[in-house]
Amino acid sequence: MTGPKSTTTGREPARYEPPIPQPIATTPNVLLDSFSYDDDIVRKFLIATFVWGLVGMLVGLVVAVQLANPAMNVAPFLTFGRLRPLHTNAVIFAFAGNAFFTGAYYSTQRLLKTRMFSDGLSRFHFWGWQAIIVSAAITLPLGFTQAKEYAELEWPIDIAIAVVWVAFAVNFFGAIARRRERHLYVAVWSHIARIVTVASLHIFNNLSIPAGPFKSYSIYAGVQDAFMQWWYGHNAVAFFLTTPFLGMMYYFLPKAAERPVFSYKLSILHFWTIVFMYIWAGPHHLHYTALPEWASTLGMLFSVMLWMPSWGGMVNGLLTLRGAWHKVVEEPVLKFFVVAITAYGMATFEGPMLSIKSVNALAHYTDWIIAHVHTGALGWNGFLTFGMIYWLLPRLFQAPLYSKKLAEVHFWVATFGILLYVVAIYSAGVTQGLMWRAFDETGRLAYPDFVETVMKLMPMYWMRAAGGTLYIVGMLLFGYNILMTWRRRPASYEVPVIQAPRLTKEYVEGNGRVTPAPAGVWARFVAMDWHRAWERLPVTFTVLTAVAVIVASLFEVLPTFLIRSNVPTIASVKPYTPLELAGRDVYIAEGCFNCHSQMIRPFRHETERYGEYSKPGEFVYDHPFLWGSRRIGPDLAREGGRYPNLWHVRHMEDPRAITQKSIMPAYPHLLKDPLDFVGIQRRVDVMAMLGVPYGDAVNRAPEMARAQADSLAKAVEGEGGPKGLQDKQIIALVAYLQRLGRDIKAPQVARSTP
Amino acid sequence: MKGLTDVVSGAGLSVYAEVALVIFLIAFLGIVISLFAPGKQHTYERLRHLPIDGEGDNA
Ligand code: HEC
Repeated sequence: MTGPKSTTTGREPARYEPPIPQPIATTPNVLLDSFSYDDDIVRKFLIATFVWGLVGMLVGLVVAVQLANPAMNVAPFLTFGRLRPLHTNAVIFAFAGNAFFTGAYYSTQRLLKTRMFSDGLSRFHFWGWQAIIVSAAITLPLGFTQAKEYAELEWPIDIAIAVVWVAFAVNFFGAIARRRERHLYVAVWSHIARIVTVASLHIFNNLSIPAGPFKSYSIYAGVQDAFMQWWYGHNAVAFFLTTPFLGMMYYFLPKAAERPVFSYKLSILHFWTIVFMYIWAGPHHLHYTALPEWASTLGMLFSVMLWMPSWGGMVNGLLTLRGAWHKVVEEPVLKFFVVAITAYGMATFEGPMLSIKSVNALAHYTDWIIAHVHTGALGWNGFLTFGMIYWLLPRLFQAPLYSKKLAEVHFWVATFGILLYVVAIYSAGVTQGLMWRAFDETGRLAYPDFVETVMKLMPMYWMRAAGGTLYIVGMLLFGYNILMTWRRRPASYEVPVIQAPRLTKEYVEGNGRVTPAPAGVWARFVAMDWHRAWERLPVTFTVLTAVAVIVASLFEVLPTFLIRSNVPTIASVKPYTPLELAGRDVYIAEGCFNCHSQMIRPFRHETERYGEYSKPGEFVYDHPFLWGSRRIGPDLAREGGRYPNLWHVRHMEDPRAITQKSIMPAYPHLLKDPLDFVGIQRRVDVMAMLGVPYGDAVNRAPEMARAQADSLAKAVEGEGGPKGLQDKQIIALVAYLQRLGRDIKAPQVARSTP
Repeated sequence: MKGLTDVVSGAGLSVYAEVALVIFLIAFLGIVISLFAPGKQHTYERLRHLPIDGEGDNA
């Protein structure tokens, strides 16, 4: 079991000469260090990956079924709007996050020939990360959210994330500093890029001012907030779900195939192109919105350019298997990898395509985006994780895999599940997108009733639930295999002792030439072979590059969100009243933005359906912005005044009493739960701090809110509604809904597409 | 926050977006050129085999 394992099969001796061992092995005074790897931490992360993966996917199944049957919204804290962020956060940060840590802790130690910097930090990282996940699982259903996709967690948890992330960074860079392998493999680079980039994305997007222990307002407003959010959201996909998993692919695929990566240069090129291009691509999430045109076009160009490196990476992965395809037939690990890489190729083809404005015009706000995301998440991230873990199981638990057959079944069941899911939701997206824009021969909307476009999707929603169920069945087989393999583990794990020489001050070039380090800074500077120095100082180099990436991206983002002239102000746009602000917070807490957009695009079919298209200047007081990204229900940007107050009260109490086929959850508790009038003052004060001109309201927000609530409750009563709503949450929500889009009184004439 | 907006608005930073873009391109080209520069082949070959030459995989 101990000692080096021969993995020479599949090498190409013609091209590769092993490094001449000379100066190291034959020089008598070379120090050989003895050390061991910490696999205990890898085992911990592996188990967490499975557990949270299962939880996240089960919540996914629940929200899928809730869309097919709204009766499944069984309790106020288990409605779609609150569970959907739990699903996305769980699969991204808990499942894919723990999977990455599993792979990173295993590969980093071996690629650097060192144990992690500190076992204590490793454990702190592990338990800290799990504690964050648990707190997310508690706070999100309770309605504590910042309303920014994948950045929903409130400020105390955000701070905890930053602390744990720093611990991981110290542990990781400490290991690099102590490494016994001079050169950094491409996987290590992508880990570095991830650590640095995710940290800065997280910090900048979450900058907010607390208005309570679990409530805060983003310091950015409207367009600027949207820009920041999708700079974050897009790059989080890059540096949380793409480059780290590519790093894992470049490590575990060669391991499993027992042959080196097809082209190392291509892998480097792939890495840098992604780092350089992704940063600029974020605005493609906001096409045809109130975002400046130049930003949108730039985002599109860079997204299309991203297609090339992504496919380079896919081809590199697949060609690594050349000459080993017979192994794919026998080895479930490789099967999972092949489908993962193929899914990566499909998702990265589709992504640039979706960023093309005309395609985006059809796909945005529809299920097409959801299908795209699941090709990536289920296919690429999921299957890469499964392949990696099946490969790791016998090595970590030091026992043969319990059942290869079962792994094989897992593979087929899950593959079929993905197909079912993606085909169903892809066609749901295209169907609904086409129905929204369809006009009849008289020039009117062919489907003016929004619910009609929802009902059409029901068979596909059930098909998705079936596909998701299959994927979860696969997950259960996976768990059983993990459990049974674990049970075969030895009484105590063997910990092999590794020996490797320390890095010497002299730089040993591959050709055996020894360059002694010159004495003195100046001498060293003069004697520096700069080309070689780059490799000699990979840490400095990589960190500097990462910093450059961040600085450059901030230069792109900063002017956009801070320069006033980019957002023309509209004189008639006024801040929300204290009561409306409280209603907006109810809207945020219930997660209504998960189903409703507030952003009408300048298309005739949209202005016809919803009214005048949205202007950047309308959102200057929106901390945070609530544009939304998916229209499961209709856009609400011009909802104000569309219906009587009582309509909203009844509709919130039971949507199906008003719209028979609605899939919106019922919110009867809003008619009973009291509104915290006193607490409104603090919220208004924080808004005022952020520059919202609240005037008198900073002194008497609760009184103003009470007065407005009283008159609105009277109005509801006058319309024949229930009595005594003046101190209930529903009143604030109705006040907010009735305000939406009313500040600009544009005539509701249809405008043609520009 | 309002003050910050005023300061940054006045600083005339918008040109830096383009400057950053050009710097990016140059840096990227530099990386590509250095990647294909001769003299590193051996290092790359060694790196390429790093994952599968390693020891310490139990099993
Ligand atoms: C599961 C997705 C979903 C969630 C969550 C959701 N809605 Fe809806 N909503 C819909 C659908 C679908 C419709 C269209 C059918 C109908 O009128 O009920 C709709 C309709 C509406 C309408 C009527 C729009 C119009 O102009 O006809 C309003 C207002 C509304 N929702 C407000 C809310 C608020 C406020 C919340 C949060 C408390 C919320 N919705 C949460 C799906 C959702």
